[in-house]
Amino acid sequence: MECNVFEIAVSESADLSQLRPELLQHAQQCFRCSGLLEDFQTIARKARKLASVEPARDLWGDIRAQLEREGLIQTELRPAAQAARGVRDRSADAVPAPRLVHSAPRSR
Amino acid sequence: MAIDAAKQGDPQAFEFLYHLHKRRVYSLCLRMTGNTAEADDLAQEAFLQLFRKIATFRGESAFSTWLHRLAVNVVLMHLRRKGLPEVSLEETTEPTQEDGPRRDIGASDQTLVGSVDRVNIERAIERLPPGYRTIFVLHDMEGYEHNEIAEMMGCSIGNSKSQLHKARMKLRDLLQLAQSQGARAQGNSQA
Repeated sequence: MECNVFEIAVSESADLSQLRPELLQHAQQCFRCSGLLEDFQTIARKARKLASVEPARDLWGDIRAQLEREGLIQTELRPAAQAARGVRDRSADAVPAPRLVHSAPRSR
Repeated sequence: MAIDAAKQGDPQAFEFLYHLHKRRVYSLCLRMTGNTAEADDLAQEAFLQLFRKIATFRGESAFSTWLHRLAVNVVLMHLRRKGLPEVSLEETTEPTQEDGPRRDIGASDQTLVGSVDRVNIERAIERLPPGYRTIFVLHDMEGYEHNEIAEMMGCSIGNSKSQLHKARMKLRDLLQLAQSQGARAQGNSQA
């Protein structure tokens, strides 16, 4: 196997740790390609291990404000949402208070 | 549970989902753009789209997979609008002048094993041309396959493979350069 064929085949391999036998055989016989493979494996492994990063600023405030402007967030839950969160529906126990559902006009 | 509540417009459920997934979404945006301000904006946009579309989530795939794909699409749309500098198939991995002296591609007089630290690899990924970086992040870091990348990016599978290969070569080149500069600096300080 030629080294350039090896290089292309390595990039086509979804998993660098599970190469086809003929590629592994070439890598075992070729110092240049074994170094290349080892480096690619090291880079991919270390890149995957990079820690996830916290956003530079708190985005939730802006997201919430936009969702409110679009009427996607409600300040009082519908019964189905309460049930989804495990909140007991007390509507049968007391006179229901008027619902204050925030529904600002959708921004365009 | 939180997903069902979010579908009903429960702000606490939205906030819970945001805090649960913000690091992964933001990190993806940051790695793909290499820019914190853009990553902030794109992560915000990804969550907004998530909450706008959450009612359509049917649960056929894992929620995190669905969100991840959505975030990738947000970043790709952004890069496309920006005019993602395409890296042509003809582009070589020759070092630029600032990279220092040219080395033979593929030649490995020293392997990187054990010498690649987090800072160097972060920096090297940031320095990749955007087209290369996108494919490297999607394939080697996020685990997408070439056919998925080709579909998302609107390119051929062959193009995806070729750019991944060039991205890896360029990264290796950048890391070898950092390694030799580090060794030189250490030698100077000992002299």
